[in-house]
Amino acid sequence: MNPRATPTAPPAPGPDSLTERYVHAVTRRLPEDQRDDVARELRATVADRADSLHDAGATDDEAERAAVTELGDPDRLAADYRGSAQQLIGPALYPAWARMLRILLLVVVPIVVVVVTVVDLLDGADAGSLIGGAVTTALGVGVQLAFWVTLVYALLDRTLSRAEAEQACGGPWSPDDLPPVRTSRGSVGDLAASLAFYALVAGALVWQQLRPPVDGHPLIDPALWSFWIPVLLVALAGEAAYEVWKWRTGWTRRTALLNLVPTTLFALPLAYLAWSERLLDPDAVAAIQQGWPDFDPGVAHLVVLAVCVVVWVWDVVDGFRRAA
Amino acid sequence: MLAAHVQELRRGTVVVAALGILREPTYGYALLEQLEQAGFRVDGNTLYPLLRRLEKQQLLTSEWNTEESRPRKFYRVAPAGEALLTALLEEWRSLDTSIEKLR
Repeated sequence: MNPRATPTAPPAPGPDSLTERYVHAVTRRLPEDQRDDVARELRATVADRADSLHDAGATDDEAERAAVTELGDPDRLAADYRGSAQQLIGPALYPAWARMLRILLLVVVPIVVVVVTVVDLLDGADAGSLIGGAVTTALGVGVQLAFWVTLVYALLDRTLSRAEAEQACGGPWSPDDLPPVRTSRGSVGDLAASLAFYALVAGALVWQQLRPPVDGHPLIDPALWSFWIPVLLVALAGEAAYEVWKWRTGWTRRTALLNLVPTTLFALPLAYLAWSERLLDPDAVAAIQQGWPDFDPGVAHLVVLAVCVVVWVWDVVDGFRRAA
Repeated sequence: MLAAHVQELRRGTVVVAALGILREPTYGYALLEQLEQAGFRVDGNTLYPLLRRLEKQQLLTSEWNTEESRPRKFYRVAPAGEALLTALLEEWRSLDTSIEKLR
């Protein structure tokens, strides 16, 4: 035992003393059942340390101040007592958070910017407001994405155990997750060809509306601009963003799996519209039938549907075949 | 640079040293001073929460001593802490043997 003799001890500190303010700052966030006990112990500890500094020649005020300073930031000490996390996102979840944020920023921001720009363009906006709109949109979407993704991962960090966190990141890391080295990237030619193709399809969609090719009628029903054509344009932007990403990382099982998203986003609405025979503009069909009475829009829709399904299946199977 | 590495090496030994000292009931600040005298530098804001954690893990027991003018919380090693100390010391000796073989 080492009971300290304290004949020179200063009187007990008052309710407004540095010690009391410090003890209050530390204990106010502790669970109620620990609060008083920790407070009592801290008071004794600060006083003991102050006594020892006092014996070494410090004044009472200096000694109390130094004793409290040594214990440091009260929020940090309280977190140590609670044993709670002192980081927003710990090492277990950080890689998943960084990956998720990177992918979302690389894919979603360009898509939204393209869609907003196309819509503005159709509204007849001038170049200045187009650029302004694109920049504002990119910043706004980027900040929103970063905020919500970070919030979700910070909450996960506080609720998941380490094993659960690992599971949430797609199981423990395995060598199969390694991307190929950069030198085995797809060729720039392939990338350029894919991008040009998607730009062509998107351009054709917009062009056939702006310069109606069939006797002054657009080929695709203009009513679809209210929802379905923007969806197709978003899907095309997604395909383009995906192509760039795939070119940077090379084919892996994950690339092939992710390939499903933009491909399906494009093929599914198109197939649905063809199946329900809503794709072609009725006025255009009538105009075509004047020169070609046997033209059957049902057959045309069926051809689109078949091509759509075949290309979709081929694209998906090819992705997995290349990844394997 | 040496100081940083020495500190890193000693960090994990604070628990061993504290369990050793706490065979005698001791309160927080006295433990801090004894550790310091024995060459184990540890900050109060590390040691005091650590004592609470060890108590929660039932490696330590505690008791308030209110006989003196300043009430203090005395910690002492519980049977589980005694067993842990024995195991840690054994590990320590085996580490020492392994390190000696490397020299």
